[in-house]
Amino acid sequence: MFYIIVPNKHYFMKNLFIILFCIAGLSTIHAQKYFTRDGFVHFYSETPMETIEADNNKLNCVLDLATGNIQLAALVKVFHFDRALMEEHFNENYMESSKYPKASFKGQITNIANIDFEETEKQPVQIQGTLTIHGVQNAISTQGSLWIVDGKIHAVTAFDIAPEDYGIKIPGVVRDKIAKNIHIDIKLVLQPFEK
Amino acid sequence: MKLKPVFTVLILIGMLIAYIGYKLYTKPHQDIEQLKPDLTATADQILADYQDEQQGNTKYLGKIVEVSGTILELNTGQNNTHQIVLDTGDMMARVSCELDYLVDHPKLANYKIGDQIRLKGLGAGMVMDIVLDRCVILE
Repeated sequence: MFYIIVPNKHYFMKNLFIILFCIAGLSTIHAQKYFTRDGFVHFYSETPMETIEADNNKLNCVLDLATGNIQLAALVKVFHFDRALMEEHFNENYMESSKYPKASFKGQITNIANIDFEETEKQPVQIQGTLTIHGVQNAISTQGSLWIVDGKIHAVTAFDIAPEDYGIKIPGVVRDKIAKNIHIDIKLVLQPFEK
Repeated sequence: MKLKPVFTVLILIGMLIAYIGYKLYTKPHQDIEQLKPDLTATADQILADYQDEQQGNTKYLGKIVEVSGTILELNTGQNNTHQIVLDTGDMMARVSCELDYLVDHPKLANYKIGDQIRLKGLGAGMVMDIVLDRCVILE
């Protein structure tokens, strides 16, 4: 029996509480960085001629809670389309994924100081930074929301980009089939980063 | 009346163009199962080649890669997507094989963490992990 080895039950329980308290404390204080390798990014272009959409389940993200610094990266070749021809044109003609395999974002959640990382209700976040697509960098700012579920940070954001801003040339014959502004949705579930 | 044969030919050419266009528009995705690998490597070797990302991409990006390694993780994602992560000795830079979402993988049930596996997939580049997309299990 357990009690036989422990001379003083209360002494044992007190220590146990201290140990548990420390472990609980460590897990919240030490997890300063959160990350995912399986974020979701989806883009959508709609014109009367054609709807084009694709998604990617391999969006990587690292968020530093202390500074609000956030980085995202997605591999272009992992965007999946329903139509093989669209996927081919996307990779070869527009994104040139063999030359520019990655799209990335580096920036900051500017209102990080006001965010409660225990809150399970959605909180608005302001994001600013540099988006790099097709080797071209542009400053962007957008809004999103963030909430906590079971110790993980859930975050969503959406914004529009114009292909022309990223040096992506669209030939006149197909210009009517591709929207001037492409809508992008992002969903992330970030887990604590443990070394 | 003389123009009639010309019109017939033009209509036929028009139909042919429309048919080719339609075939291209609805062409299926590449069948990875049928494609011969461009190169064969172990997961460790892929990571070694990706120590210089540019160099790794030159070797693997867009290529059909046959990879062998030890299973570190077996994950099932949204929409019944599956992922087999291969051990490279570096927990932050593994080889992540995304199983082809267009086909079923009956062989998947035979594998567990720690097993040796060989897969074939498309080199997609490196984020944290090195990603092979649309993988099929070989053995």
